[in-house]
Amino acid sequence: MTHIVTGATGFVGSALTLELLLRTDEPVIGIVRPREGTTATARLQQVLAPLVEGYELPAGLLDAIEQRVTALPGDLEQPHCGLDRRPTRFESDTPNLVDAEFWHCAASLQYQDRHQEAIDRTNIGGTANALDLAETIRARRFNMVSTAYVAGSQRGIIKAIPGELDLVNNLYERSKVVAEQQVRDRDLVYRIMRPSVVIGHSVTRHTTSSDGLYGFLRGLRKFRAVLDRTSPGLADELRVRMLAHAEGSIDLVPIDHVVADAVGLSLADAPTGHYHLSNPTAPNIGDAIGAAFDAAGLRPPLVVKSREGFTSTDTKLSERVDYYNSYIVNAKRFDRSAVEAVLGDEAKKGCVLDSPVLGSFCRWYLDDFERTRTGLQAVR
Amino acid sequence: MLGTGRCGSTLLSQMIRLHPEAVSVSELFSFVTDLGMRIEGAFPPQPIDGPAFWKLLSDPQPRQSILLRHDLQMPEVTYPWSKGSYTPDGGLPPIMAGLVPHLAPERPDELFDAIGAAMTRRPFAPVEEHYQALFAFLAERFAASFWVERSGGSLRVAERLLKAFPHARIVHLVRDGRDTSISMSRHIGFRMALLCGMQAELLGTDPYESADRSEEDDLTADLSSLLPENFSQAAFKAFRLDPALCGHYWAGEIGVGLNVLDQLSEGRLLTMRYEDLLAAPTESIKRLDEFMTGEVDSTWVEHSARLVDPRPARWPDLPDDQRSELHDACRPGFEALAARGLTWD
Repeated sequence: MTHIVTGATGFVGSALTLELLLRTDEPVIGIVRPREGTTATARLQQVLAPLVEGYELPAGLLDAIEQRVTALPGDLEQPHCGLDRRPTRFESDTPNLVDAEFWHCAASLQYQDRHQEAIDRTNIGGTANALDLAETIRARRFNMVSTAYVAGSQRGIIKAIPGELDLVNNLYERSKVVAEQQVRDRDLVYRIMRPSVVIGHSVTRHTTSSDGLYGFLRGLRKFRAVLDRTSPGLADELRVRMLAHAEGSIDLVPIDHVVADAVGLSLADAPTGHYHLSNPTAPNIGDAIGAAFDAAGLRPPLVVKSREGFTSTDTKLSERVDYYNSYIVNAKRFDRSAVEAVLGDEAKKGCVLDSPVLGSFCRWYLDDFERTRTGLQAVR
Repeated sequence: MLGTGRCGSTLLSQMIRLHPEAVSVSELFSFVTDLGMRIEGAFPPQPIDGPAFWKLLSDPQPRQSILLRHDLQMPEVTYPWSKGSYTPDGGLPPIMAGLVPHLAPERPDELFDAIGAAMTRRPFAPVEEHYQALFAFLAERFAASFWVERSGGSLRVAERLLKAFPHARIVHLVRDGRDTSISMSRHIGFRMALLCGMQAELLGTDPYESADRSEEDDLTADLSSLLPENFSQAAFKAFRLDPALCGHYWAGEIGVGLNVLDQLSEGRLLTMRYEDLLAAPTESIKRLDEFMTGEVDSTWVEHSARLVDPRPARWPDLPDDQRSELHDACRPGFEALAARGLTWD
C-alpha cells in the first residue's frame, strides 16, 4: 500500500510522514507545491531530513526518506490538486496508488477576516480538490487532519461529532467545519482526525510550528517588544489583565503523540468516524499562561473573568492574542473514547505538561524564533 | 530646545523667531529622522560628504510622504504649497516641511537652494559637524549671533544632540503629561510614529524599509490596514490610540530623557514648565532670555508674551476611568520630574 500525503512539508504532515516511514515499510508520496530550482521530491526530502535529528528519531530513517519518499508537484488549490491531467498515468504507471491511504494534512492556519478568501480557497476548496483526487485514484481511506476546535465556543467535554457553524469563533474554525462536512458528504471511507493544540516534540521540544501556543507566545514576546520601544521600563513593572478560565484545561498535545495516534488508527484500520488526537493529561490554563508569560519576559498576568476594568494596555494585548481566547476562555476537554476504542490502553497515556515542562517548550520556541530573526533595535 | 513633543514647544520657536539676535531652527530633527523612525539615518556613524548630508536634508522621507499623499498634514508642516515648487503628491524635503518656511515663508525655494549650495560644497566630516555648519550658515544668513533648534519629540534623541552640540545650552520644556498625552493621541505625527513603531515590532522589520511581510499575520487588522501598501486616510483616522497609551510613552520618554539631561553641567540646562509659560509668560520669557543671552531684551519679552494664548487643561474633562488610567500611565514620568523638583496637581 502507498500513502499519499498533502501538506507533507507542514508541521503535522512532515511528522506524520516520518511516523509512516518508522512504522510501516510502505512508500509515501507527498503532493508538494513546486519551488523554483528544486524538484518536489528534493524539496520534501530536505524538509524531512533535519527532523530526524530534531525529533531524535533513528538515523536509519534518513535512508528511508531517500528510498521511500517521493513527491509529485501539485497545488491543493487546483482541481485534483493540480494532478487532474494525469489520473490515467497515475493508474497505469503507478498502479500501487490505487487503493492508497490518503492523508489530507494541508491547511491554512490563518484565521483573520482579512484572509477569508485564502482560508476558504485552501481549507474548503483544497479539501474538495483532495477529495476529488482521492476518488479518482480510488483511495482506500481518506484521512483528514482537521482540528478539535471545530467545537468552537462549546465548553466542557467535547464529543467527537460533527461541528456546528453557528458555534465557530473565527474563519479558520468555520472553514474546518465546512471541510469536514465535505468529507462526510462523499462516498468514501474516511477518518476525520482532530488534533487539539499541537506543540513540539515531547522529548526534544523541537517544532516547526509557529501557530497555536507558539502564535500566542509570539504575541506576548512582541507585546513586550512594543512596550520596550514605546515605554522603556514599563514591561518590568506592568501586570496586565488577561481574560481566561485559569482552572480549566487547555489541550496541548505534543506532535509525536498526535502522529502516533493518527498512524495507529490507520494501522488498526479504524472505522469511518471522528477521532480526537488530544492529550488525556492536558495542563490547566493558568499554568500554561504563566509559563508563556514567563518565557516571554513578562510578569505573570492578573487572570480575570471579565473585561471590566481593562486598561488600554490590557485591551491592546487582548487584541493581539484574541484568536487564542477560544482556547483559554472556553475551557474544553476532548472525548477520546473513539481513539481509545481502537488503540486500547496505549491511547490513555498522555504527556504530563506541568509548569516547568511547559516553560521548556516555550523557551525552545522563543530561542529558535529569536535566533532565526533579524529583529529590530529601537533607536534613540 | 528639547521636549517630549506636544509640550507646547512650537510656541517657543515662534518666540525665538522674533528674537533680534537669534535664528530659529524649527523641526529639523523631527523631519530628518522621519518622525523618529530613521534616527540612525539622520546620525550616520561614519563621516559623510556634503552631497550626502544634503541628501539627508532634502530627500523626502517615506512616512511624511505617505501622510501628505493622503491629505494628512501635520500642523508642523508649514510649507506654503502655493508659493513653492513642491506638491503633496511628490513629497517634501525634510527641511522644507518646517525649517525653511519657518524662516522664509514668502520665498522658501530661494532659501532651500542657498542651503543646498552651501551644504553640498562641504567636505567629508562627521554629521555633527555638518549640522553645526548648517546652523552657522543660517545664523550668518539671518544676521544672528546664536541659533536655537527645536523639534517636537527631540528628547528622544537627547543623547545624540548633547554629543553633537557639546557646548550648546539646553532648554527642556515640560508640560503636564496628561495633557501632553491627550494631545499626542490626536496628533497626526505622533499617531504615525507610534503606529509605525508597533508595526515594526510586530513585523520584525520596518515596512517602509523592507518588503518582507513574512510576519504580517502578527499584525492586528488595524495595523495591517496601515501598512504602506494598504494605507488610507480613513484607516489612519480610525486607528485607536488611547491617551493612556500615550501616557506610557510620555512617562518613558521623560524617564530616559531626564537621565540624559542629568549629565549636563551646572548652568547648561534650563527646565521650563509649559503651564508656567502660560500663567506667567513675562517671567518665563525673561528667564529664557537670561539663560540664552545673559540679559533681557524687554521688547522681545513683550512681543513674545503676546503670542501666549492660555488654554485650560483638557485632562480634567476625561471620564473618571480614563482620567484615572491616564494618571496611572503618566505616574512614573511625574515621579521622575518630582524627584527633580517639578510637580503638578
